[in-house]
Amino acid sequence: MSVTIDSIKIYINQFIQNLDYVDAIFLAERLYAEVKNDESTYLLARTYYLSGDINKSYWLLRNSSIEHVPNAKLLLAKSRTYYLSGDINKSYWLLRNSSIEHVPNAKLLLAKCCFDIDKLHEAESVLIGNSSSITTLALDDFINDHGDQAAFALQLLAKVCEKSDRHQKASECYRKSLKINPFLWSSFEALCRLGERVDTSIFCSSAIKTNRLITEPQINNTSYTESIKDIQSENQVIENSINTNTNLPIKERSQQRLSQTPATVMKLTDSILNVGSTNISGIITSTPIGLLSEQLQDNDKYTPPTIKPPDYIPTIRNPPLAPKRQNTRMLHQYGFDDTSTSASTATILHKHDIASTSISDTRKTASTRKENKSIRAPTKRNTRITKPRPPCTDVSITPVSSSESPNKMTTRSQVRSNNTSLNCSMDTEIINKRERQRKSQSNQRTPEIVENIINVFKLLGQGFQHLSQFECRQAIELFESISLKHLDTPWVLLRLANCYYHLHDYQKSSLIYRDLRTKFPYHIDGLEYYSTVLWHLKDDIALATLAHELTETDRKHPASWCASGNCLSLNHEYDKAIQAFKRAIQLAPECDYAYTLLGNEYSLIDELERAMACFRKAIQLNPRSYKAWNGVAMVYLKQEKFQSAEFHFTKATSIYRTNPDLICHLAVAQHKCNQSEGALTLLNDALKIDSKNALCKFHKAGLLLHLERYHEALTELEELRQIAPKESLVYYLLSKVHRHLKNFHYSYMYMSWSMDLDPKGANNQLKENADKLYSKDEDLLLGMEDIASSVTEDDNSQMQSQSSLQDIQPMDSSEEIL
Amino acid sequence: MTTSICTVPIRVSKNNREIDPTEDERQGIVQNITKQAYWHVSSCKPGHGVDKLLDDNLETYWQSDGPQPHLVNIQFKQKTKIKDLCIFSDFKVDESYTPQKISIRTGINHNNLVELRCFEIHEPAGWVIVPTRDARSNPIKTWMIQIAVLANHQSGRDTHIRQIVVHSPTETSSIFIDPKFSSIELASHSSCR
Repeated sequence: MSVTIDSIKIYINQFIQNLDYVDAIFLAERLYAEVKNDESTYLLARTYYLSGDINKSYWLLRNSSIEHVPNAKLLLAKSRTYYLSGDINKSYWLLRNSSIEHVPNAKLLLAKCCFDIDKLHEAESVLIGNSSSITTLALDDFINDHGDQAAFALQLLAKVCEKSDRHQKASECYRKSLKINPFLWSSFEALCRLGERVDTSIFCSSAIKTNRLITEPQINNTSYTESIKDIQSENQVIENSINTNTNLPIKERSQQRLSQTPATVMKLTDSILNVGSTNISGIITSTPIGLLSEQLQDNDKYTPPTIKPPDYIPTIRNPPLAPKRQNTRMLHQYGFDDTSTSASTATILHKHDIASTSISDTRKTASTRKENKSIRAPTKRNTRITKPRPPCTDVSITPVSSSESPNKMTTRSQVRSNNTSLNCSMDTEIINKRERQRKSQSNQRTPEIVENIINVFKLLGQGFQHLSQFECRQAIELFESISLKHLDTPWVLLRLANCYYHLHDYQKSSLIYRDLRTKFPYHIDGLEYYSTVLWHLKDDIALATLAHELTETDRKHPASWCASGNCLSLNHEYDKAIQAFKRAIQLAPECDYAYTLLGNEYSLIDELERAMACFRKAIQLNPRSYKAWNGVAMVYLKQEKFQSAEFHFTKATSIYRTNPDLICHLAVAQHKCNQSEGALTLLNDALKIDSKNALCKFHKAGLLLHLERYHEALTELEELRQIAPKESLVYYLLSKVHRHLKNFHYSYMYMSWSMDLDPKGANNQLKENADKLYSKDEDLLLGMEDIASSVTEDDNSQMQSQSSLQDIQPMDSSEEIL
Repeated sequence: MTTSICTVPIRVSKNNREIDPTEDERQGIVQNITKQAYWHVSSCKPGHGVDKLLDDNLETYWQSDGPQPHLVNIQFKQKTKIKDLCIFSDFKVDESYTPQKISIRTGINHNNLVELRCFEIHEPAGWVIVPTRDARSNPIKTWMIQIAVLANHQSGRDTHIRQIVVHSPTETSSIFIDPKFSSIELASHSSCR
């Protein structure tokens, strides 16, 4: 009987390997109908999910009674697989309905499931255990409880806390997790996101060596059923994917901060094999394809985790490798659970038997990220390799490239069932030999490479921290000091461009983004900022091209919709822009930047209540988003609620201290609250930061005008005129100042220049009024007794026409009165 | 309310629908506030209700179904500045249903309307842009506008109107609170997007 089942399983696996899901499902269904045991259930469920039919898989498992679990680990593996597939719900129910919680790895997995389906309370209770509450939790006990997975458990706990607004505890847990495993970049990023400072010296080589990792997996050939082998193979496959990811060209590497060639990675792996420390173990970094496909369940809703603006990078859980492996070389792996290196934690050292072949394969193959094809490795052995599609990389790098991605996951290869352990060990032997050869060549370079990586971590960590604190200049310095190898990766380039963006240096920012686009055209994360940069530069051609390219590359990525929205907004099609932003929000409900953009859009068309709602939502998602605070304040300013405006501007400036524009807005609000002197000092401060800031000069001139310090205002305006020679409002102000100074000719001249520069502008009304005023002035000039008694004007500087003719005092003696 | 007769000329599309109200919108001179008002018609035929007036579709129309004058009432939440009204009608398609004599009335509510202008259009072929100005040629500020169709072409009883758009001028109240900069250097700093 078991032979029959085995052979059927072989068929099923073969079908899957050859991407023939229909047949695989059918056969698996027959098997399941025939023999309703756990294995067949599992096989069928797996076939369903591999083919993308998550729901069926879920119901199957849910409705099958899995109380008598012969093998807790099997069950764990099942649920992990569901988790990986993205079907968090199933995974959750599976674990909950069974009683394998005592199995250590299961706790983490269950907690992760709970977290992903938003059952935060449960997640917390699972992690902590039923003993204590989180407030009395002693982190050391927690760490002991979770053993090898302490770092990940801590990270998850921190995330739960962060999501439930307990930032204190969250940062504590993050720090602890970083201490245990310094390469948990997502913890580091989370800390930066929360606005805290982290000492980047944690990224040091000593930390790695002392890193306590899970013991090596071993293949137990006899005692496990074939399904476990399936699981194993899947694990391998995942690892392969990770490995191949590491070796895949640019796009993948972007997420790894190592832009190493396959050769060097290989050498690195060799060297680490050499270093050969005993405690390197195989942790599989699996990706949140889970996260991807989970979203796919609800039809149109996506939350590609990647879309969060710079600070967020999806975290990747690493469910532990369940089955142990024997007879193989040690599985080496760094504890790279770096989210930023999504799945392709760069230096993950995979099993040797995969290593050589995969590397050689990646050299041959080129995969485009867009299609994410699985790379078929022409392996020498032809046994177990395949380049599974790197699901991991997809997450962090690309947007969810359409709903097929979880399906395409299925391009994992299956270990053929007839590949017995004997073959395995033989394979590994041979591969190991090859490895050894290569190792010997690369021995000397290993410590260098490791050092480099660690240094890069430090630099990037510092740079990122500066960026999170909006100390953009320092961040730029640090990022630019990185070696070109690392600088040329999407992650770093994105951060650098972001720095310039925050500095409002849109020209430079757009150059860097353009560079990024030519080098890494499929890297879409973070490009919503590029679209905003182009919006600011009013470069509609480039923006339209960008929007077009992005939507073509990936229609379901929020960044492409943000870009479209910006493009439409630039063309004054505000309704459609709003629709586009709403779509972006639908795709990424956790992305605060999309809300900010939407709020700005509403604000432009004067729908102030909706704008307010959007900004508030953005603040709720990211309390350190100074743009959202600024947006709220601008709405209040428009509604003339100056006190509230001032409060919110203060908030914005407290987050981003050195932004002259924010300070300028704050000064305006203060001025409106009748604290003009204070406003003036603020403006002077802002100008100290950036003496050429046009906005500050403009408002300073206006303020001085209001304070009737006309000559100072004039100097400011003259300087401003040099900076922004084509700005009509500058000339408008100039004309007003001159009018006050009774230089009517200049006043009239500037006014006509102003009208010329912006004839159809929105300031028409003002200008029409001013025009009438000046025509009355002309009457005065001509010596007529006609006195304009009351002149009304719209803006806040009061100009009263003189009741009596005065001596016209021209500025230059050459002026003549008509 | 002072009665003021607006004398700013009306622009009527004569050949092939050449006037396009969205042009001004795109240039930023006017805002389309059609959707920010409450619309009410005096009568309508089933299937050709008030929503067809606002649906951005020139193929669908509102058809009245009662005695003349046929009224379209537009009420705003607050006193709004209205720069012009754009009415789309096409004689070639609608023939005797095309409105000929139209009166625009403004006021606070139904009981309080005063005629702003009354005009005749002859065989329009597209958009008719009716500026709504007061005696000093400024856009009127009003709570309510009523478009009354007093007579149709060829003495038709009922009327078709395919689309109506209301424009309000874009304005800055103060150049310091919300300046609309024309140059990039200032505009890019002013909005924190």
